[in-house]
Amino acid sequence: MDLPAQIAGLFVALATTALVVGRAATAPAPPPPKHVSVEDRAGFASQIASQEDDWRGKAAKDFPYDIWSQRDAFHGHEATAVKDMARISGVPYEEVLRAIDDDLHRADGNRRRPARNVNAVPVKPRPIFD
Amino acid sequence: MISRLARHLTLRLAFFCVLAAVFVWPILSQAAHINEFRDVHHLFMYERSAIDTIRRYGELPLWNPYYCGGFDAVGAPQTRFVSPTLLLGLLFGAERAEILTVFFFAVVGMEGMYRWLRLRVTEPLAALVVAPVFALSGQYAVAYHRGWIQFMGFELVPWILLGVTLAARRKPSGIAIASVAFATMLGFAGFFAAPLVAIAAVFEAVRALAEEPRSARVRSVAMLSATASFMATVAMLRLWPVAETLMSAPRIMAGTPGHAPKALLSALVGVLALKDGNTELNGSFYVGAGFLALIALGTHHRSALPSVIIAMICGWLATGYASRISAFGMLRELPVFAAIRYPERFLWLGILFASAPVAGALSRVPYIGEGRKWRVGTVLVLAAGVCWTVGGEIAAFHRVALGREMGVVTEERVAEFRQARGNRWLTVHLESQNVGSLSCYETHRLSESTLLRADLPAEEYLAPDSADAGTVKRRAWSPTKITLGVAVSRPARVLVNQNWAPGWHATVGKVVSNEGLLAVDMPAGAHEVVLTFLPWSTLGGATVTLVSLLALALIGLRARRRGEIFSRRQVVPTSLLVLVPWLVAGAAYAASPDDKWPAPLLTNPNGSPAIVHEGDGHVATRAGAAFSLPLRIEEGRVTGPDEHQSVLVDVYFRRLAKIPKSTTMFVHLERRKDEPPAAKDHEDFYNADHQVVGGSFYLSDAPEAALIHDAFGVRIEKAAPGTWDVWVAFGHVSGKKGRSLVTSPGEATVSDHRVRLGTFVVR
Repeated sequence: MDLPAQIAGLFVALATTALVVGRAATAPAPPPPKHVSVEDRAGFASQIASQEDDWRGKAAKDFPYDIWSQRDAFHGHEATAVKDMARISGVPYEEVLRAIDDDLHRADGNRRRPARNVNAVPVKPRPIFD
Repeated sequence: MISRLARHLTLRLAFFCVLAAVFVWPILSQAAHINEFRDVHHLFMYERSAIDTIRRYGELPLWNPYYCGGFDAVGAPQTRFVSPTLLLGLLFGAERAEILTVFFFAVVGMEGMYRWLRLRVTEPLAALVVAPVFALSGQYAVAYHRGWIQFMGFELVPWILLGVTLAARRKPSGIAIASVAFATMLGFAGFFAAPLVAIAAVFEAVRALAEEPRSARVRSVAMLSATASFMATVAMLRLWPVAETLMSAPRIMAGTPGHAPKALLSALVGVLALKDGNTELNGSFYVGAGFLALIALGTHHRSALPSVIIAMICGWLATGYASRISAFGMLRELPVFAAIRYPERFLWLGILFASAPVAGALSRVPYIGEGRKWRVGTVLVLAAGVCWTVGGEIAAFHRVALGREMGVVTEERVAEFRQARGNRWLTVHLESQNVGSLSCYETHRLSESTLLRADLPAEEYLAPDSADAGTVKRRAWSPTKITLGVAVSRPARVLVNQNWAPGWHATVGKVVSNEGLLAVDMPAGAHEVVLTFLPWSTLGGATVTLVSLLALALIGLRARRRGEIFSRRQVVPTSLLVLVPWLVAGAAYAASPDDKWPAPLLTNPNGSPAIVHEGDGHVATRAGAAFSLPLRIEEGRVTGPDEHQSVLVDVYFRRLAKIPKSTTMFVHLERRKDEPPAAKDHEDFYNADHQVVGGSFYLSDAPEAALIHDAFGVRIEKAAPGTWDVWVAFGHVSGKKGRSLVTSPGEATVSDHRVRLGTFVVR
């Protein structure tokens, strides 16, 4: 009596696992991304650039004399803006992030915008989390 | 009959698989998407980049160049790919593998719980129905919602405890079970859980030893020692690299977190729900009131006592600093445990140990009364209690998992890897483009070069002082291997826009750290130089792991042939087999050709050094005030308020002898009493107490007699106009044990055993 029960158990375990794996493997993939024009990208980049001073100011106010926290807060504001921009334009976040990166990598970018946080500020997590 | 069937592995697995399938079912339809919760980004990216490195470049994912300027991936405490679950990622992709990982861990957790419970619960059916309570409890829902998939590794804790008890019962299989489960947990980024596991293992070991006859206890202790040893050595592949990382950049955690018993009760029985896109303490360890009632029922039997006592100790630890006598606080005095963050996580262990009395209740209560009616009635009531509990857990998981903000990763890779300014809140979307994010967050400090740039025309270039010496061209790139064509007319330094770490090697020239940046000192001439990352810590760790597994196999074989492994005749060969991995580890460490990490740079949040020398040019007002604790405030300075309504406070002090870890610096910014009363929306007091100097080290760890510079900003946006004083004192972190007395004021003004550091005026 036990052997058939064990075989049935094995079958149920395998079948359930196969069902779970199958459903995960065939879950609908996201639709292909919508690409934006060069002009739109330039628009994203300039919108971000125009807000950066404001974000830096807010971060300096919220985290006085704490350079990593200020940088992290800056990126928090930037992330919100990137998400909003992508959502409104119906494009992936990658498009907006690429626009910012391309803008910062432009050959003339450094001289015109020396303070765009293109250097690294080593991570220094605040030690109190409670 | 059902009870008899529960003994069969395949039938149990069928039951657990069905339960786990119900647990994950609605979430499976989202498998191709990613969780956009903030913590997910770097954690998920670690997994994704590891899978990409193997699939795309055919390399082991030893180095992750996509975050913080690059780091040793095996040495990062939160990477989870050094475990069998990596196979799921390789087969199905990182996104789809995540929920499958949850499914498999849930099954493994339930089976582990069943086996562990059965060590002390004779009724198989009781163990079978209680096993899911821990394995599906509320904290797994919280962890999944936040993308802390590594916490699924906690499902292996019952296996570790099972191994510990079997070892105490002198069964060699126990050593293997505990060691492999622990190594898998650490490989799956279980470093935050490891201190809790250590405590659980100690509880289990003590309990198991107490259950053994006196005559066998020495051999049981030997078995447990061998288990602890193998747990460390089998996990060495992960332990060694992570230990190196954390020694170069320690995790510092301060504060006095605590929860009242009522809050902890709400964590166990409250409804787990989302608020502002996140979970709260309420329901975060959901097991339901039914489970607590069953614990109470289970305590009627004497055999439940040890489990209940351990569960109660876990509950006490979970209260953190809220208890009058804080067990959690005492624990944090110990070196590794100082970095524990959330005391409430001890509830997890509490649930685990409390499951035994619950299973006891299920197996015994139906037989307390007489007659079939009583038995059927109680079985039905108890079964309903367990069903209600597990059903509530599954519903909580669905509720928070389906409430996640879901996103999509788009693969649009740039041809050549480059560093971007990036964004740690969106870093998955950068890795998918083949760009790194210099924006960086981790729970510990990372060795990140300040010379990293996000605007370079080329990622490999000549250092400024040899920029005119020739050219550098990238010929090939992969995460762990960079090939460069270098033509220089004189010896020159080539800089790579990634961090240096021990383990980088070059085929030509010498790899050096250029202020933390990866660099190669090249001889003159035209060369093709290949930079490869292969750290000795990983090689050495992997060797020790392998040797340990072989030693374990040998111990297993000997046990089959000769019986008990610590018998008088077997003690010497067994001890040698336990020692061999350590000898290999020692030899490997001594033979390491890699450079060592430099000592961590101790700085304040504003970048100023935290240890200074007299005569370094700093300007401050002399104080020279001594305290009853061996601390002396030498100088102080208060600057501001600045344009952001903040003041900068600089405290220069010395630690003259040992002080408790719990020592805190109390900092009070106080408006003078003789000023007119402040308006309603204004403040006349600010507090800036802290236990850690500049986020770098505890006051107690300050180098003895050195001049410590503690600089910090305080935002005083709503400060009432007038003259303000800044006062500094020392005492116990909780504030409950009073202040250290000022024994000599020196040149400072003292009030209420506080030293005045300076003043500022708010206009």
